[in-house]
Parts: sequence; C-alpha cells; structure tokens
Amino acid sequence: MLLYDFDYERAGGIEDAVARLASLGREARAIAGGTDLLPNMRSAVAGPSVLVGLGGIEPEPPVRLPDGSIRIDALTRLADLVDAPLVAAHAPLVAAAAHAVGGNQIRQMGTLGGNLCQEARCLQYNQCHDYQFVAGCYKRGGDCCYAFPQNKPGVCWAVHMSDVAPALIALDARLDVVGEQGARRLTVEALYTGDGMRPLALAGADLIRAVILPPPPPRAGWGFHKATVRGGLEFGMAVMAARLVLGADGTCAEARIALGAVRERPVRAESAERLLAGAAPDEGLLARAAAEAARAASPLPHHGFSKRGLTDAIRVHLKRTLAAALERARAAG
Amino acid sequence: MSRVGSSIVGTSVKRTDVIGKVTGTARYAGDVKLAGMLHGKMKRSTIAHANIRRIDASRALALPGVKAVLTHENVPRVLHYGAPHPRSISVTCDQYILDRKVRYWGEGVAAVAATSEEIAEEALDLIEVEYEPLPAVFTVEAAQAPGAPQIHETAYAGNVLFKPVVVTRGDVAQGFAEADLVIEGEYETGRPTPAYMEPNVCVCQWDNTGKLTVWVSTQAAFMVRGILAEVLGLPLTRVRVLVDHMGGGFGAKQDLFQHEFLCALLAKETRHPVRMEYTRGETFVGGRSRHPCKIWLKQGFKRDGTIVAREARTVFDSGAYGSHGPGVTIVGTTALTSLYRCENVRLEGRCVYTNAPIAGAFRGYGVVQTYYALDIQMDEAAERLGMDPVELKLKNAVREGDMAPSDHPLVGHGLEDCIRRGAAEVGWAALRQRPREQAGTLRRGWGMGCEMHGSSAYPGIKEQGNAIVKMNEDGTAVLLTGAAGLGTGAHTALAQIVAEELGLAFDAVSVVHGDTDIVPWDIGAFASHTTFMVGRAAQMAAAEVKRQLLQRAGEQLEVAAEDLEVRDGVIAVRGVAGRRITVRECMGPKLGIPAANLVGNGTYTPTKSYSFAAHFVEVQVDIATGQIDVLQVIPVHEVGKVVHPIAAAGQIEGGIQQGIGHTLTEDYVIDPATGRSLNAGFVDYKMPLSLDMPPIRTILLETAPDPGGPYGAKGIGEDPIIAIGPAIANAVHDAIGVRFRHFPITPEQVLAALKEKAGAAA
Ligand SMILES: Cc1cc2nc3c(=O)[nH]c(=O)nc-3n(C[C@H](O)[C@H](O)[C@H](O)COP(=O)(O)OP(=O)(O)OC[C@H]3O[C@@H](n4cnc5c(N)ncnc54)[C@H](O)[C@@H]3O)c2cc1C
Repeated sequence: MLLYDFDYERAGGIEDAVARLASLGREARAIAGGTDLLPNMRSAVAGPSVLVGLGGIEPEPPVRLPDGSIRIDALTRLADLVDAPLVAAHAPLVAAAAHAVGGNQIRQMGTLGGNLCQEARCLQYNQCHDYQFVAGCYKRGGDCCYAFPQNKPGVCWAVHMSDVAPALIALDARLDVVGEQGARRLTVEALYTGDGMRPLALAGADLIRAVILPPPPPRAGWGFHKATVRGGLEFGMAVMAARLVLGADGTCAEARIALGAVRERPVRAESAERLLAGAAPDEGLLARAAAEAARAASPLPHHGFSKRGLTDAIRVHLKRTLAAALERARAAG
Repeated sequence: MSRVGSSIVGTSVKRTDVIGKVTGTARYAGDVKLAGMLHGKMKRSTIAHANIRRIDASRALALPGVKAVLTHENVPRVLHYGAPHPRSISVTCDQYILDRKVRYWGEGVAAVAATSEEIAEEALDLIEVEYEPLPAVFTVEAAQAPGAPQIHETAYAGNVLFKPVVVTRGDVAQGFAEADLVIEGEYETGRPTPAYMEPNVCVCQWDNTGKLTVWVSTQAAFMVRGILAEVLGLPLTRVRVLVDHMGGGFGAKQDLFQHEFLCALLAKETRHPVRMEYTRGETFVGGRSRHPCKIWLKQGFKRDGTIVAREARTVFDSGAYGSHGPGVTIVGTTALTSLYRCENVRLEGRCVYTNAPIAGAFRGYGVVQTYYALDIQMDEAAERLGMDPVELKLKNAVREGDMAPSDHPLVGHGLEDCIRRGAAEVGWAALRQRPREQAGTLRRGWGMGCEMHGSSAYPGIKEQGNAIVKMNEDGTAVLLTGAAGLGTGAHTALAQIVAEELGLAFDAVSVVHGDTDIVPWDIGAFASHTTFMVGRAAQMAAAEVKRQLLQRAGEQLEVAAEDLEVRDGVIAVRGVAGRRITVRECMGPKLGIPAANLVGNGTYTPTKSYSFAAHFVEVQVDIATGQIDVLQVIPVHEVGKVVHPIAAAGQIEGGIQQGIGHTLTEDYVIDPATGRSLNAGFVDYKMPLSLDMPPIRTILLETAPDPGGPYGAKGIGEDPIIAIGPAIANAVHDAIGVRFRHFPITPEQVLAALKEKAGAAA
C-alpha cells in the first residue's frame, strides 16, 4: 500500500519532541530512522496522523562516563554503533547485535532507540497486502487471531524481534527515558510489557534518550547469536545474548542470558542463569543451562518455525553462545 | 574454450545493454511517463472462492480524482488464454478479464484509474463487493475428492484441467518382473516463485486513430499483442506492443496478468494514458509460482544397475487458473522417459485446479520437479545396489540416438561428458573414499545431480524464429528481431552471431527489438530457445545478406562470388593476396549510383536440441542445528557452442542461486484455512542472498553441438536450475544418511529426521 498523507513536525531536541508528542496526543508518533514505522504505516499496522521527526537531532557520540559506564545516544544509527571504537572496545556485544540487524541500508537508517521500540511481528498480522483484504485481528482492532485462532480475545502472540534488546539485557543496560514528567531510568527489561497487543511500557510522549551500559565487570565474556535462514537481511528465527562473569577461582560469578524473537518480549533466562551462577562451568553445565533456557522460554511458533524447532535451535545455539562467552571471560581473566 | 574458425562468437564482448543498465538510462516499461498519464490499481478479492453477488463502484467513482472504475459488469466478457502461447496444448483457455466469480484469494475483481496512485488506492476501498462464498480447496487431494467444488466449467473433469497425459514405452510389468531391485518413493515439491526484480508493469495509450500502444514488461510481446487484439476486438494493426528492457521474467512473464487488459480499457475509457504497476506483494499474489507437485516414482533395476522399468504418476497443482498447467505437466512428466535410459516406461501426469494463487511457466518447466524425484531415486538405487551413484548414472545416461522426450533422437553424448568431466574435476572417486568426520557436529557430503532440457518447445509447439538483417551503405549492419531481452544478454548474442556471419566487427552490428510494429514476429523468449532458434534465424538472415554482398563484390572485383571471403570488414579473393575491397567500399554509393539495399530474411523452424548438465555439490550439515550450507558447486554444462562465456556462466550462477533457494529456503506460503498468501514479500519469502552464495566453478563443454543451432549452440536458460536441487539432496544424504524427498528442506526437518534415524537405530 502507498503511504497515506500525514503531517510531519521536526523536533529541535528530545525535550521538544516529548513536548510535541504530549500536546499532539494519541495521533502522533515519533519517527527516528523510520525503517520500522514507515513499513508499518504502509501496511496499516500503524496509523499516526502526525509524525514527530527525531531525524534533525544530532546524536551525541558514545561516551564513557566518569563511573566507567558508557552512554549511547538512542538516536545513534545502528551502522554508527557498529563502527564506534568505544563500543567496539567496551561493549562488543552491542556492536555484534547491531551488526546483525537487517542489511546495511537498514543499519544506515535505523537507530538504536527505534530498534528497541520496534513493533512486534507476526506473519499473519504483518500480512497486509496493498489491498486491505483481511478483517482485522485483535491487534488491528478486529475480533479474531489468524495465527492462533484459539487465542482469547485481546491475546496477541506477535513476537518481538529486536536483535539489540537481548544484548542490552545481557549487559544489564539502563534506559534514560524522557517523558512529560521529566527524565527517569528504566531497565531494558522493564521497557517491555510482554503483551503482544502493546509491547512497550512507554507512555505516549515517552522517548528513550540514551542507553547506559554499566561498567563492564572484570573477567566478563560475551556471546551472541542470531539464528537465521540465510546470511542476512532478515529477522531472527531466535536471537540469543549472554554475558558470563567469572570469579577469581574460575567459577561463574554471574550469568545473564537474554533471548529475542521468542515471545512477545525479549526474555531473560533466569532459571538458566541460576544454574550457572556459583557453579564451575563446563560443557555439560552449559548444555544444561541452554536446555533450561530453551524450555523456560517456551517459544511461540512464528514465521513458519515450530515451537519444537525453536526450542531445539535455542538449546543448540545458546550452548555455543555460552561457550563463546565462557571462552572470552577466561581470556579476559 | 575452443574458438575454432570464429572470433566473435565465443568471446565475452561487452553486452549491448550494459551501459544503459549500469547508468540507469536503460528504459523499462515502468519508466515511461506520458503527459496526462493516470494511474491504475486493481482491487483484489478478499476470499478464495466465491460468486460476486453485487459490486458497487458508485462511491469510488464519486471520489475526486477517480476517472474510471471497471468491474466484470463493464468489461468485455471474452474467454481467453492466460498465456496465449500460440494456442498450443500447453496452455489453457479459462479466464476472463474480470469474472463474476473469484477463484483465489487476491484475484482482481475491479480496477480504478485516477489522477494519482494514492487516489486510485483510496478508491479501491470504496468499491463494495458482496460475495457469495463457495467452498474452497487448497490441495490437490481436496480438489479431487468426491464432492469437491468445481472451480472451472471448462475443466476436463471435476478439477482436473486436461486429459491426463499418459506415456508408455515397452512393457512395464515385464520390466519389473525382471528387476532385481524395485524402489518406490513419493516426492513433493514446494511453491517457489520466480521473484523477478522488475514487478509487472504496463502503460497503455490510445491515439486518435483508435490505435493502442502498450509498454509492458513481457517475455512475449507478440503474444500480448495477439491476445489484447483478440479480447478487445481489434485488428493487429491497431495494437502496438513495446518492450525495451526487462527486469527478468523467468517464464512467468509469458502470461497476461489481468492488468494489461484493464490498463488498456481504463485508458480507453478515460482517454488518457494509464499506468499500472504491481507492488512486490502483487507479484506474488497475482503472479505465477512454480507448480507444487507430487510425484510417485517406481523403478526396477538389474543388479548391474541397468534400469528395466520406470513408472510414475505426477500431480501438478495449477492453482486457480490453468496458465501453463498442461504444458508443465506434459513436459515435466514426459521428461521421465529420459535422462536415464529405460525401455519400459509408464507415466501418467495430471494437473489439478485448486483455489491457490496461480502457478505458471517457470524456468525448468515441470522438469525441476520430476528430475528432483528421478535423480534422488537414482542415488537411492545406487546405495541399495552398492554402486557409486556416478557410476550408476553414467551407466544409464542417455546417449546419442536415444529417443528424447520430444520423440526424436538425441545428438551427441553430452550427459556422459558432463558426468565424466565433473567427476574428474572434483576427484569423485577419491572423495568417495575419504574418511568421514566423527567429531563435532559438522558433517560434509558430496552429491551429484543431472539434467537435460530441450531448447525450443517442440513438439508441443512447432516454433519459428525470425530475423531480418539489413546492411547499411557504410558496411555496418542492423538486426531486427522480435526476441525479448529479459536481461539474459540475448540481443548481444544475436548481434555476435550476425557479426560473425557477416565478417564484421561486433560494434558494426546494431540490434532493433521490442516494437511489434517494426520487428519480425516472434513467439516470445522462453524454452531456452532464443540463442538457439532466433540465433539460427539471425545467422540465416546474415548469410543471405552476405550472399548478396559477395555477389556485389564479385561484380566489382570481377571474380566469382564463391571465390570471395569476408573477414574483419574486408572482402578478399580467397588465396589471392591484394585482391580485396572493404565491405564499406563494396556497399557505398558510386558516382551517380546510390548505395545497395541488402536485406536478408531468416526464418527457422527447429525441432529440438537438448543441453545437458551435471552438478556436483558439497554441503555441510550441522547435525545439532539442522542447518544445511552449500559449500561449493561445480556445474558442468554441455551447450554445443558457447556464444558469450560470461553471459552463459551468468545464467548458470543465477540458476544455481534460484535452485539453492528452491531446495533450502524459498516457499511461498498459503494459509491452509483461507488460501491467503502469508509471505508475499522479500522479508518473509527467503531467497538466498549474495552472502549465501557458495563459490561456483562453472565448466562449459562444447562436445555435442547441435546441427540445428547457430555454430552448434544450444539453449542454456532453463538448465541450470534443475540439477542443483537433487545434487543438494543427494549431498545431504551423503553427509548425514538421511534421504529427503521433498523441497524445501528446512533445518527443523533435518533435526526431526536425524532424531527419527537415531531412534530407529537405537
Ligand atoms: C527489511 C527490514 C529488515 C529488518 N531487519 C531487522 C532485523 O534483522 N533486526 C531488527 O531488530 N530489526 C529489523 N528491522 C526493523 C527495524 O528496521 C530496526 O529495528 C531499526 O533499528 C528500527 O529503527 P528506526 O530508527 O528505523 O525506527 P523507527 O521506524 O523510526 O521507529 C520504530 C518505532 O520506535 C519508536 N521510536 C523510535 N525512536 C524512539 C525513541 N528514541 N524513543 C522511543 N520510541 C522511539 C517510533 O515511534 C516507532 O514506533 C528490519 C526492518 C526492515 C524494513
């Protein structure tokens, strides 16, 4: 479908954008790179009548704050994130995740904030040819679910497919959110509601200003994997990110594992983390942890992948991801 | 590559279209902009099978900017062929421009012309359609079940499109009785789509004499002209079809897709030029996919590997319209008489309507499906006979004099040559002995698949290639051809042939194409026949010009024309140094005498020639994830004569990419409950990317030139997509011992199969 007519206001700064969004109300949406929003508007998944453009706001380059944490402007283009030396040096997991998004054109336009705030996806729901021939599903305001016809009214199992969110969760990142009431901090996990109908826990005028990565602990190692069908330009079948921190004795002091493209929100694999924490990591333990994460995640079938197929994929790939993290942690220590 | 006696044919000259394409100046139908041009859009059905009870366009017509709306109530009702394709038995006459009934989800039910695309689209929503739903069927089983809804009145029986094709040779029962080993299997293939880069598009304009001009992306301009004229009730002088450049078609663009008629009618109604372009989604929904196919195949073998009997039943899912269903079914099914010799054969092929989107012609034309089954079964037979599959295939490979599926004797030993060369190239014998990985999760495997494919659609269609060559007074030449330039480089190849024949430099030949009012009639670019058939016609036309030229030169040099030869623009007396004249001098005006008018006409009606290939493939399977990666492909193709090595290799690489997609990742998914398309776009329909492409080491052979083709050349267009599929499936078997009999093969299925195998072994 062609893009419909809409109004566009260019924000002078993040606070200005928040103010505009607040005064415009429900009809307005912020647009950063537009790589998620514009396709969704074209397929009538989103229908704002006014767009508040963030494109005119120059993102601040990533900086290291006095406490050692790293601040990345939410408007940073993914391609710039991949290339930023500071990120490569101190948060290579974030660079790897950003690099996994779409293709180069998408990364040149797409931003970090937009990636986190992208809409959830479902083959049936995104399925809207130019000629609007489907009666709306719950998420489109209709009264059925095509993908899961047995779902109760209002239950939507669209999957959140951000590649970057799992990486940020694994690093225990915080969000600097600006809203009508001013600024506040949020964990990345808290950004997501777990409700496919409305995946984000942001108020209408809230905008993410920056992502703050806490200072990396010593003896930490990361792993990232995006399971895909082909070499690029696609949303993940399953996305996994992990950070392992080793104690001085080589046991696992802390494990953080997050999965994307499995459910309505990026999920943290807490039961698997607990298996690892305090234990001496070996092949068998990593395998058990991965299997536990896969089980606990209870992935939703999506885009032609079955629950069983996704569970298998997570089990195998996550074990490898954890092994990579362990190896890096050991090398760091 | 041999270049005996020729210099231009066989050389990768700079393609005639390359500058235009890389600089963006090449004009495609979608680039045409005319004063006052309106934009057309099609409204598509929201149900897979229904009668239209009521359709009301009044609200749409009232929208400012809307200039016309067409529905089944105000377009001519003429039953016509979807793919006119000279009314051969290959195609079906079963469609109307707009019908009172819809047969698949997304079929066009109305069209709007408006001053902008946006308004046209808005108007679509204002057209009210009331449907009387009919039960719908989305599988060939459901469509053939008793009580299934009949989709077409014109069908042969129930939902069976045409009288099933039956081929018998010898005595199958006798053959099986003699067999030491009988193998039977069921095979199933998916629904890939051609995914051409340029969406379907056309622009229509009527002039004040009542003549219609159509700029359109088609492989068959004269077919479009013919069917438009027929359905709109016009003489051919009133329809002119123009195709300059095209962004691919892969067979599908032999059809008409509703919008050509609608665009013409909207232009007529509004008295304005109208442009209609499909979105990417529409190229799926309203385009043509490959026919999903089910194949039951049974073969009997002697202990030494000789095939003594072959029996097969194929069922092709045509979707909602016939398009090329009969042709695909016939070609795909009868292909099973060949490739591997067998005297006792019984084949039955049927084609069935369902309420799925339409399947049509697509590179490989039915053979992709049936040779997938055949070649995989050969691999299985080799395993069960304890033979090397290469040895088994070589033993049974068709040879010179064998009856081809087209019922005429094959020329040369192309298949054998391909198998031998490929086996030598990869060191097949040593590969078979290599130690297998035991540790880790990665397993590598080698596989090989074979194919043969005919150039030209003979005997289904007795085709005809035409060309006109004119020589200018400066000694340069012009070729007029109706052959379409799908992006294959066909025009370059034709110019090479003309230059070669005339002894001119490649640059001295220009090509005029793509205007049905000017160029000689052409059947369309399909069936791997352009270089073979039109190339031969061009060669004949050039030879005629050359005859006239040497005649003229003979008079000027006062020698017999037979004693002259022409090379590099110079005519010389054979064997006599110094007695020469340039072509330019020979042609040019003399005092008071104008230049000569030399025109040659070439018309060529071929039978068929077969090209051959063997693809050798290495894959890697991760037994933990089920992921299959193609590591390398060594395709060996025997094509008679290579006209343009880079273009030929390009065809092969592209075919392999499509074939890898078919086998591993691509499948156009239809919701089994409603028939709605689920992944009609490039994000969710997953074609392999450049990133996914393995190294390809192409080998071109010229060991079985066909006397019918120019300089012995045969077709290459369809071949490369066929052998890659079974080669991959066979390589997967070699890697993990699991035999897949379907495509696409997904990681989930690999894992499930491995689990099952482990369970069975335990
Ligand atoms: C072909 C294709 C492939 C893709 N592949 C991937 C992929 O592999 N992985 C993946 O994760 N994504 C993928 N995407 C989705 C998307 O392009 C990316 O997620 C991208 O990072 C979105 O960023 P953007 O700036 O373009 O977002 P926009 O489209 O501008 O915005 C998306 C949403 O976020 C909101 N938003 C934007 N910025 C902020 C902010 N600072 N604070 C609060 N809300 C904000 C907008 O209001 C909007 O609702 C793909 C998209 C396409 C078209």
